[in-house]
Amino acid sequence: MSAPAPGGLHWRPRTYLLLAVGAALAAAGVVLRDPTPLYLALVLLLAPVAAAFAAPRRDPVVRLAWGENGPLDEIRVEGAVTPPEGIAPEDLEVSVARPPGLGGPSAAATRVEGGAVRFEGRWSTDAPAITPVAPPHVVWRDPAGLVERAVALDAADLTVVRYPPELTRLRLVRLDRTTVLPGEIRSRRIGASGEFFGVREAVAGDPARRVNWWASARRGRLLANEYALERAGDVVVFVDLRPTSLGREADERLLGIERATALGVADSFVAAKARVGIALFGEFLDAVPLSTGRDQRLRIRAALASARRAHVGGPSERGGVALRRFFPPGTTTILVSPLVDEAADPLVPHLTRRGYPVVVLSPSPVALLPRGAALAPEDEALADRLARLLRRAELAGTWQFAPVVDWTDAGSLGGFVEFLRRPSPRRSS
Amino acid sequence: MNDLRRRLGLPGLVVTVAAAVGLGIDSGFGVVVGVGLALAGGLGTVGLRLAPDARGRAAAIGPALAALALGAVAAAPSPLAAPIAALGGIGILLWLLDDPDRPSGGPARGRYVILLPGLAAAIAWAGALVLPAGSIDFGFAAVFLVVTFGLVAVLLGRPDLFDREEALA
Repeated sequence: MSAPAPGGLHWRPRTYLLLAVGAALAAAGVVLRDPTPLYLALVLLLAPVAAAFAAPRRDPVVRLAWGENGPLDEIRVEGAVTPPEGIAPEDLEVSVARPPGLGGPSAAATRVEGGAVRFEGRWSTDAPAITPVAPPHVVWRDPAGLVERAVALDAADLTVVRYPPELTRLRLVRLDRTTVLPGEIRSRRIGASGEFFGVREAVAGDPARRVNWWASARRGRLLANEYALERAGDVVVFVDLRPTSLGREADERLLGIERATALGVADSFVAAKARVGIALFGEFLDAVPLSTGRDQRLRIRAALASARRAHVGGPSERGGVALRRFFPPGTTTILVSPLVDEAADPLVPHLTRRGYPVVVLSPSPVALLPRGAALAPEDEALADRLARLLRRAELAGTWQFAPVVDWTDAGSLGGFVEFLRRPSPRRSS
Repeated sequence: MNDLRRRLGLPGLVVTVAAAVGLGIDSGFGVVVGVGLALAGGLGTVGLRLAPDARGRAAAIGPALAALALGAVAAAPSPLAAPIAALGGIGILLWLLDDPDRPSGGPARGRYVILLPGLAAAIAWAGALVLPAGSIDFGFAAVFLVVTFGLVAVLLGRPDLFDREEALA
């Protein structure tokens, strides 16, 4: 449910214009002792009063039904704003701004149809994206545009998610199971929720009956039971949110790709009944502990939607150390990082030294590098080739510790999926 | 044709410019200047209304309103000048209601914006005509009396007008 906009009746600028001209005419009529300006003043001064009397007495609450669809590179946000009885849809001003990071028109097109204001926004994206769509700004406005009143929306939030469709094949990847927390032993009891598998950190929303009180007492913090009838394995998606030397603009683009990709990977593994956790490493490490199911999917989505690039990057060792606080060693770890400054402050060795088998998915920043405006086409091709060679050399250092998939085509992750299914020596996506 | 009518707000603009011309003919500026001023105001409004920039379109009422106001101030007092000025004001409101950036049907939905000021001006004018000379103030008193009665009737019919918004936490 979106928060209502600040309420109340507001005069619009043209009202002040009418009132100012009306007041000036009234003064002129009195000074000149001429009734003609007074008649015009009377009309101009009374019009805003009449408009205000026709306004709804309270901020109306309108119903918003909306959703998004479209292929990978196109995002169509459609919806309808239905006013309550007594308010004409023609008097509602609905504006839907283009979500940040998308291309296309700055606002959605609107039309009045069937007693509702319908809107449709068609935007495009050339890379994976996870973008919250701001709720429409709706106001009631009188037909003359003299007065308006804020309108509250009754609607669910909407987030646009686009990631390469090949990620759905990740469920075929075989994951390792990890068991280290206290009390994580096989149980002979078969409960209504399935076979007991182990314990994990309790998270908000866990019912009390799922809390393992004995294990919690031993560990000193709340742990919850998990059941393992169909559980496949464990995986941590580690998202590197530290700023890079590429600059703010390129960082923001890479952030959008990283977040959407991490969500796609997490969604696919959760759909395969695996336990999935998320680690967000900026200056410090925030985590969504391992779990599975629909609630976990929503937790991961919320965490990634709110993830921002850190202003200051934490040291790589901190990332490795902090990961141990949330996830047991041995958990398969997919690191999503552009690895731009990996040579100066390596993160991968710190993770592998602490027992995490790491696979690196590295969105290539080569396409985001600034181009020389005066370069001839052949020089530009040469510069591009040099940048790719440099990138290859940088990644080669990381290959000593973990396999790296250099992700060059933002529209496809087929190479990465195949790599996870059948790991093989160095290759590019 | 219908599209052009809406884009320009022709009914309101014609009424406004006609009123401004009527006032300009009998103004202290002289016929040529008075009429020229009225036509320039109308043309300025048309030009701004066709502007691609939304801020330009929002300011389009300015020239016509200025021309009408100048005409009303400069017009020689007469029994006809007052209703022409009021008619020009009604034209301005009609023009505002015919906004091409909003769904059509504005004049019908916003008729109250025209009716209330129009009624008030009509009563004032009728009072001024019917009452003996020098009793224009009675005409205005009658307007305010009628408007007051109207407001009281509305308030009695809709007691929820006195409801207050709940404070937001």
